[in-house]
Amino acid sequence: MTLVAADLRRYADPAVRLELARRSTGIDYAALEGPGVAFDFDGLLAQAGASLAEIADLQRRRKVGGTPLHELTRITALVRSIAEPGHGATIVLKDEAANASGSFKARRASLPVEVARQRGYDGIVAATSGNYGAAVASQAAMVGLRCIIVQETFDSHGRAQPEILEKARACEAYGAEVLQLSVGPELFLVLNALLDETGFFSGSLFTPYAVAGVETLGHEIGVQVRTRYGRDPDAVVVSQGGGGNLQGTARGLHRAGAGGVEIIAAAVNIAGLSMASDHDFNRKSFTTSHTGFAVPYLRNPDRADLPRNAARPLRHVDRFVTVEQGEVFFATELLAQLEGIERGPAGNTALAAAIPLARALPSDHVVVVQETEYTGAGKHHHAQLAHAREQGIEVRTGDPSGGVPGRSIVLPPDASLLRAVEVDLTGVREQFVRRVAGDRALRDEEVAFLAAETRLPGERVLAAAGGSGG
Amino acid sequence: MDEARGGAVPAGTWVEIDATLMEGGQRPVSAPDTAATPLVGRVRGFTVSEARPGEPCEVVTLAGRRLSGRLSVTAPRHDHGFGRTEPQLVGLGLRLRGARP
Repeated sequence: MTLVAADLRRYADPAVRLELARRSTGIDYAALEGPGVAFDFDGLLAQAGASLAEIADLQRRRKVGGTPLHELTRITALVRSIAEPGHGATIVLKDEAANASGSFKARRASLPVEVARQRGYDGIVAATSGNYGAAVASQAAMVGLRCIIVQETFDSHGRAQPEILEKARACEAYGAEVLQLSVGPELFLVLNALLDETGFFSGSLFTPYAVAGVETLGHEIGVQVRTRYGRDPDAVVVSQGGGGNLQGTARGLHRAGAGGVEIIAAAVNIAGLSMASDHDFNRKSFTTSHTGFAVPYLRNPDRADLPRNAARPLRHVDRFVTVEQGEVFFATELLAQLEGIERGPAGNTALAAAIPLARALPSDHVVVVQETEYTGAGKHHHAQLAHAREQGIEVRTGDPSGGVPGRSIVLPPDASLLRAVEVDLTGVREQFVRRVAGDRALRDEEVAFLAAETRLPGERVLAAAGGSGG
Repeated sequence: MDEARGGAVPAGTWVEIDATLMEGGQRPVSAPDTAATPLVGRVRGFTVSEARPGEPCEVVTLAGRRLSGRLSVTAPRHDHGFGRTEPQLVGLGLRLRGARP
């Protein structure tokens, strides 16, 4: 009796994983390595093999992109009512829930599914507990490819996260097999075993195919804001998980000629809760775009399911802020009751951050919240709060900064209590260098690579590496 | 998740099966919280032949794969919901839109 025939331990071997990565993506990752700690980032992105215009055309044919940009007039008015005179930027929202499958992840799934189809693969496999699973399943349905989604779904007591159950339902609605696992780091072993057994294409979130598809989102934002407001956006707030959303949006804005826009990453604070913990699994109300993913992926993007992650968020991010779980639920309620659109909740992380950020900016500025996601059973702020209460988590009203992730969720009574807490990105950039450099003496090409990876000047790279004795 | 019904289900029934993929104690010690517990998988599909709840069962999944496990749920349902309405949330939404309850 088994769901996976192979011995899973075999897939912990890096050589086995490298070969499977080559077979399941068509990318020779080993050939992109060097010199030293460096790798050919532009060469990896070029593997996507499609221009922005070609991807946009593909997405049009696959019911993706061209989403509306809504001005949030009542939320903007609320922000101005609590801002200093002359402050309170206009907040606009890119309604990505309008994509097939209900989130921006459809942009990420479009190209991998098309590549798999063109190259004659029978199917596609992805490991994801989030919207990306439904996106891959939906895109695969459009071209008749078979699809398997592997999810980390329940803890050792069989208790499932309601939001993840909803994603499983959606995947099955689009005709995908859903393999649901208990909590643990073996998710990636199972993924590799499935790739090996089926010979399917890898729908990893971190291939150049999956990251390139987001560039249309940044490009659309640049064009739409300029058309409507006669200026570039001043800031774009991006929810940060594995980094693909951020990189794709930043590169797309750049291609639209809006390269000067401040890119602000936002994540939900779940400090103290471990990603690998069975105990903590159901004690967080968000399954992505939280600090449990966002911070480790900033420090080490290559902790992904492939040898190299095509998304390198530190190359693009200007600021990184965190918000509390209760603040995102508040923003979700505002969006429904003031703007009349029910979205999220997890997709409203950037909106929760945008409210205090816009409050501090001049009123002639434009702040873009670059995503929404569909709402459904389980994927809902009431469902998440009910689930939290069942885990013994206290829900109360007050100052959200007083909440303790895993113990309490505090809903702010009004918008003036929302904060976007700044994270020291310089420290994160230096930690990145120390991790990569280890004890080695860096050659000039390696210093140049790390400077590009972190946006630190060369001398700061050397100083940070020197801190590790290198 | 097990259903109490003990009767056999015919071939072609939509079911959920489960299986242990790794025993507790075989799992990486780098994740101390899960190392001692089994890694369990669940998947849904159509039964290939007659099967009994709690017993070995082979299914064909939506991806067309034949997988075997223990028949854990007959005719599984997606019963996740919207939870109890959180009055504090509704109250704050109403207050902020200007219509006081």
